[in-house]
Amino acid sequence: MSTENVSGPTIVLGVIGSDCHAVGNAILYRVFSEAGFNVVNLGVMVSQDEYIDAAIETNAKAILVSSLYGQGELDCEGLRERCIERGIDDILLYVGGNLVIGKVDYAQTEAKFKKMGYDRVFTPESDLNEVIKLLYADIKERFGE
Amino acid sequence: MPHVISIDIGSTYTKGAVFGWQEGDKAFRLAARAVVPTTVNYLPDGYRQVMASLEELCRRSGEPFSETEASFADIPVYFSSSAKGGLNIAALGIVPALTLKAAKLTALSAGGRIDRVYAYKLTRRDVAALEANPPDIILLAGGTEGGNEVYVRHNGKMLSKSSVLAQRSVLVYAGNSVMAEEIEEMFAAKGFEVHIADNIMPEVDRTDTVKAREIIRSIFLDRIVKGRGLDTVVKEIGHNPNPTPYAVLRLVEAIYLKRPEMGEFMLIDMGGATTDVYSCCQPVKSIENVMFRGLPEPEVKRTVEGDLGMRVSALSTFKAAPYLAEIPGMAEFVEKVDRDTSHIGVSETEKSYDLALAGACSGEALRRHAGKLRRVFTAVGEAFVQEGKDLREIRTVIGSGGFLSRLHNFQIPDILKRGNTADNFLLVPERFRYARDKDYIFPLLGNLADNYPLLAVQTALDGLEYSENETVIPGVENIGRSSSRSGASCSCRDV
Ligand code: B12
Repeated sequence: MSTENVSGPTIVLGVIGSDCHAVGNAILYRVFSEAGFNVVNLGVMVSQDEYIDAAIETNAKAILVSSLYGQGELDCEGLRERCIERGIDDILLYVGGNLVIGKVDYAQTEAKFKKMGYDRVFTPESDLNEVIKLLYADIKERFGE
Repeated sequence: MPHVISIDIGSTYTKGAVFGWQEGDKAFRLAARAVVPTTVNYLPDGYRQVMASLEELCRRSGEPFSETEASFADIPVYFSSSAKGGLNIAALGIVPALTLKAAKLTALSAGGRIDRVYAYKLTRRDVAALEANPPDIILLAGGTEGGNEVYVRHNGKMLSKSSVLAQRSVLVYAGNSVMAEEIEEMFAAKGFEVHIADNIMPEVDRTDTVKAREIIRSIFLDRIVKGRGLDTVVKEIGHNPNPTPYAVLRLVEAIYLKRPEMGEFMLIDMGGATTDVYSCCQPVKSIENVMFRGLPEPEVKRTVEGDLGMRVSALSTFKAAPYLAEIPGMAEFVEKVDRDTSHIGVSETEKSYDLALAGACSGEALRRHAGKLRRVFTAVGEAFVQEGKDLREIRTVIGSGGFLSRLHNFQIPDILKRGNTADNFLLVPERFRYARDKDYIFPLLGNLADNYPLLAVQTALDGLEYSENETVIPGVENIGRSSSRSGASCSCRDV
């Protein structure tokens, strides 16, 4: 786990489940750190509770979940419910990567993950600069910071 | 020959039996049994009537009593009371699949009956409903250890400001222990009765229901005893009664532990008002490609369906099993028994209606008790997600209660065959032998399960009459087993 002492909002980052695709995670870590976030990067193969543990300990405002290997739906379901029981109901949940197998309409995937309690859903093609802007705005709106 | 007496004070009948045994016996000998209508207003009357007829029967048959049994009153008595089908418990949690489910499991395994459930925050309307009809116990849970405090605080405030506890309810708090003191103060300040248990879900994947169950059971006893005069009986014989469902649970548990050769089994106890289901089996079979989701399931599990039953609940059963409406004349029959709950089906047609109703109760109760398997597709092929308990390897289903005790052959409940779709499967027993509790003696033996476990278990098993044929519920045999393995072996197709 690596944390840097920056003044921006803290976010937790990692690749969920038994997914070991590491390249995208390294890129996300660099990009979000450079954009001013204090990024707690858990790396690959992260369990739901590990995200929540880190978020509680660091008072994070958002969890950024990656899933690349096609089991995203299975790995990601239940994360919001766990956050609630463990006391961080209002944390922002972002998810991105190859969330489903094969070519599935994005709108359908987005709807599915939103129903699971994720605030925003991204594809591998999403523009990361846009994502950064959204994240700042969402944090401001939800936590007033 | 030493003897022991067991009495069960049910909502309609008060039943009793005298059992005798000798050194070296494997099972009890049934010396006498008696039944009288329950004296609803003052329970000790019915109790005494049963005791009197048991004594009379023993005297007439010349039952050989031992030296220590100089008078009938010297024989130890164990008794249970159903307290109108169990105490009503309102269960409160946060997430339905997590703390709320843990609360439901806790309430049921303490012998209670789930009255209402509430997830997340109580609204004013919820509180008004509770005030209008207060349950015996409010079980308040929520939050892992060190976890959420917000919901429990909100719900605690709503309840402590309401009149629910002033009327009759007792609060049992079994949530995040960080909130325990605050909750205790909130209620104690108003003079309300509050009990603090350990958190029933200390971590998201673990439950710990021991303490909460203990508390619920002691409240239960208090209520039963103070209820309708039972305290005089308690004083006479020197100890407390069991809640009836708890007694049956203890017997079922003892059979499972003491007689492993029975294998995995379940029991359906169907009455006029409720249908109870008990299952004893490994909840999750280690099968490749099956992932378990949700709260861990108990190995010995009890569920109670308050809307499924042969008489008082006939109407709600009819609603819960829509296919019953397809049977000509069924609707009229249900109306009839709803008006007259003591009606006994006499003609062949009426008997067939009762059989259909019994199939619906047991089928629907089994469906709700059983887990589910859902087919999913992953990057490495087909896999399955399991929620709830896998009952597929259960090979014995015991039927108890007035109706099932008399039923020789179990009808395959239609409802179960209809439960499966291409990607969703019910984890009900694949094939089983039906065994009826032919003397309807399980509840009475349940009272003896703690003090005479081996004798009670053997007597219960001796009393079973197995049906000749196996019942087969098609459609679930190989799902998640062989087929999933073949799916896994061609895993690279996506890359
Ligand atoms: C390299 C690779 C591997 C390597 C990984 C090495 C490593 N340790 O990193 C190895 C060989 C180990 C591997 C294994 C497997 N792989 Co592979 N792998 C790839 C490959 C070719 C490149 C991945 C990569 O590094 N991309 C470059 C990075 C920069 O992009 P990225 O990961 O997508 O991440 C970016 C975006 O997605 C986005 N993003 C990601 N997460 C998030 C989160 C948020 C919040 C946001 C905003 C954005 C965002 O931003 C990231 C940075 O730009 C891809 C195909 C491809 N071209 O993508 C397949 C691919 C991902 N793998 C695939 C599969 C199926 C597997 C295996 C299951 C194969 C198998 N049958 O065993 C295993 C899984 C192993 C495991 N347990 O994880 C499939 C996934 C199928 C699907 N999802 O529909 C792919 C798509 C290939 C394919 N077309 O079939 N793989």
